[in-house]
Amino acid sequence: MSNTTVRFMQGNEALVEGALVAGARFFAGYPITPASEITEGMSARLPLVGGVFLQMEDEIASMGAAIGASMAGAKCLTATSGPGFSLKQEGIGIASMMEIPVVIVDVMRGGPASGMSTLPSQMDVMQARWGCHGDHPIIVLSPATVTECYELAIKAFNLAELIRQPVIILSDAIVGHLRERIELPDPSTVKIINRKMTDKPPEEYAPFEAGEDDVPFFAERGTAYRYHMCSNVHTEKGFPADTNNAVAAKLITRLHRKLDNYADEITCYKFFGAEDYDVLITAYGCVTRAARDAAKALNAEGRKVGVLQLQSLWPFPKAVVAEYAAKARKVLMPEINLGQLIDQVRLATDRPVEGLNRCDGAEIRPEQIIEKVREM
Amino acid sequence: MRNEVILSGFGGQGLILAGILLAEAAVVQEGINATQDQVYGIAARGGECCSEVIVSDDEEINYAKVNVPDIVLSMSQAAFNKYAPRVKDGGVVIVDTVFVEDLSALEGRDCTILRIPITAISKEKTGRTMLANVTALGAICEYTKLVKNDNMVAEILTRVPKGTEEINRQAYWGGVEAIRALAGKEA
Amino acid sequence: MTNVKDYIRQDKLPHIWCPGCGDGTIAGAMIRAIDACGLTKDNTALITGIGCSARFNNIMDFHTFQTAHGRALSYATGFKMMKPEMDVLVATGDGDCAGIGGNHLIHTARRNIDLTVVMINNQIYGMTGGQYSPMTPYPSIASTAQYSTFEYPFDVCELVKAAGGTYVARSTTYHINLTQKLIENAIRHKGFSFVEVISQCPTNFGKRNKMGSPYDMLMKQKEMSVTVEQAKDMSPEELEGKIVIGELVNRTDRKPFDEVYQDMVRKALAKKGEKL
Repeated sequence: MSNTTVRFMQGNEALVEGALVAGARFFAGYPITPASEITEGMSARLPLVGGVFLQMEDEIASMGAAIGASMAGAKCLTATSGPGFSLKQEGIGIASMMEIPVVIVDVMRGGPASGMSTLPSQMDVMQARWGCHGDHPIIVLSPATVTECYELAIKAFNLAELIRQPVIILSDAIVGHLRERIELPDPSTVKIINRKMTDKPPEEYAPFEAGEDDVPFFAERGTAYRYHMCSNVHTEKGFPADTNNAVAAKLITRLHRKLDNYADEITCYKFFGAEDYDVLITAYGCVTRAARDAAKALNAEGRKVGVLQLQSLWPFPKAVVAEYAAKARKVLMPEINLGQLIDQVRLATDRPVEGLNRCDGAEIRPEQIIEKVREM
Repeated sequence: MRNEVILSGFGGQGLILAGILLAEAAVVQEGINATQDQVYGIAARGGECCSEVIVSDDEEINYAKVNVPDIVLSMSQAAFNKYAPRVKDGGVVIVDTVFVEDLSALEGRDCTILRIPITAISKEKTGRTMLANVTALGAICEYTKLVKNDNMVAEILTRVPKGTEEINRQAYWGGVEAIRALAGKEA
Repeated sequence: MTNVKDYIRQDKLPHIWCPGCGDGTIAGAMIRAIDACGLTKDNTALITGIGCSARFNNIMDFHTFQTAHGRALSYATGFKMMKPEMDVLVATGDGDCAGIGGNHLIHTARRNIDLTVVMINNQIYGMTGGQYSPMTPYPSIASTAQYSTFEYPFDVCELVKAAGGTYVARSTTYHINLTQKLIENAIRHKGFSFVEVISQCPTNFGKRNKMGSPYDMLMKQKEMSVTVEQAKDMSPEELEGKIVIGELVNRTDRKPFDEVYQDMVRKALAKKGEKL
């Protein structure tokens, strides 16, 4: 049996802890509420474990430095909130195209613009999917508890390394700032995935020649593996081929197929409540907490309510939602935005899906959900 | 049982830390569930400050915003006016009489009001007003028994700078004694 | 003599640059400087952004990355910090470095990170078709200034100097031996080194501004240039429209960034040790 340690920790702190256990040894960031605790935590921890912490001149440079450090072989993290996340989108495109593992945290706050900088929201769900230009694949994970901040940080790094892909952790001001109980496992028992390295000799190595899983292999920099990487559409050797339709089609479809191949590893969710539910609440992030309390109260009064918590938001777990929704009469999707993920739920099921939304900087309370379900 | 606590006052009184310590002691020292969250504006000092703690000895805590507090600590008049009226019927409001004079916001309410010169006790016991948050914790724990005094002190001592252990103990027990003295008067 | 071909990916030739472009000349000087400094191909990285300058590393046989427009210095910063033992160079242009990447230039210079930056200043966005850049002289004609530019350029070397760059130099494609010498010095310098090389873009700048052939443009560079030594005795009026070439800054009073970082790490570990 492994030892665990009970700690009382903030979501942002737990995310730092998880990233370090996953092997993060480089962080570049820029101050922004409500993500600054991650940046501060990394500034305190990385120098002690042989890592590098940099506070850069802006969000764009933070993203660039993180990708650059990953190109040098390090596991890299950067953290921000909505407006900074917008500035990082250019780099997310680079990381997608050049297949550089990097983990980006967006601790969501109320927007747009400076909006409600200290208040929570879930307003960046579509930005996380489509904020970046181009037809890029993306993985987005969303924690609802302090423990999940830790666990999903590790999962994000593992997926980034496994698939050579930028991975976004979409946290929010509630989960990021909340402090609660967490049971930390012995780090030696945590499953860690590192990037695949080539076993070919330098003269045969092609940096974008993919394995059976459609993921290419890395080679150590500063060795005889002198290779080129560019942000244009490129050949397997890494050189620009941006006017070659066939190369472009092959590359872009492979980038997406990588995620299809690992769909089971990416998809994660939890179910709470009555197994024989009549109403299914689909929730993610901090709203999950209110949904669970609401379901508990409703089930106690004889209603049958289940909660499907989506931990992986993109690629959208359509099959999971379809399966769970099929057993319900109606589906409720509460979100702290005016309805961003609800359309995905609607595409996944023929059951009626109703929204419960707010955009005033306040959380959705259990009572609101209870009241809404009673009407359904 | 779920107990909801609000610690309110102005920025700089150490109430965020007090809330963290209370919840941390519950989790780490007592082995029960607790959460801490805070409401904050853009001002670091002087502005309104509210730390929310939920302690539960029998169930998990999902929604972690305080809805109807069982206990409210008010360490400024503005905070008293804003948060004290939210207290549950039959709940407790602890006021620092150094900052809160006007109790009219609670007129006609069914709740217990404990008037304690928290900041003055901190000053008297330690020579500084800075430890009023620790004195407040003494008062809260002694009255509510949410966390045992010894456990609370042990948790406080894990967080304080070296060399300040004794004055922190003094500040804490000052709060405890104030509650005991009030109880004595009532009895 | 350096065999420049040893450093070129032969299968990537011909390069994409127009006839008469200065980029090939500067690439040659860069390779000769790298060779003279004894850098090895396996231990050298060349990072670029976007633009004509970004295609330097297509043909050069080092560890090469072409990243985002203006961001090469941020990528290079992250890379260098995790591979401090490697020699890291950046080739960039006036639009890439002084326009969209201007903020990164200021702060990378300020940190004094041990990178060698060669900024090819052809005074125009060449690859995208001749739009005016922050370095385009006033007044000029450009594809986005059909009647005349209406902005003044700035002295990028002065900017890097003010930001704390510890090695700053300027040369031209005409003065190619000096260019090579300055790049050599820049590579040997420990800290942020910046070499601006005034270059010619006959296709997208020279033609519109009736500057004649590439040869005429080079002769113009020669005519406009004065050395740092000559410039010392010249008045601001006399220096108007001149290109001051040579070593402008060479400071050794600041440690490079990775050493300062390691100093901080030692402090952190000592402080941690006290606590334990």
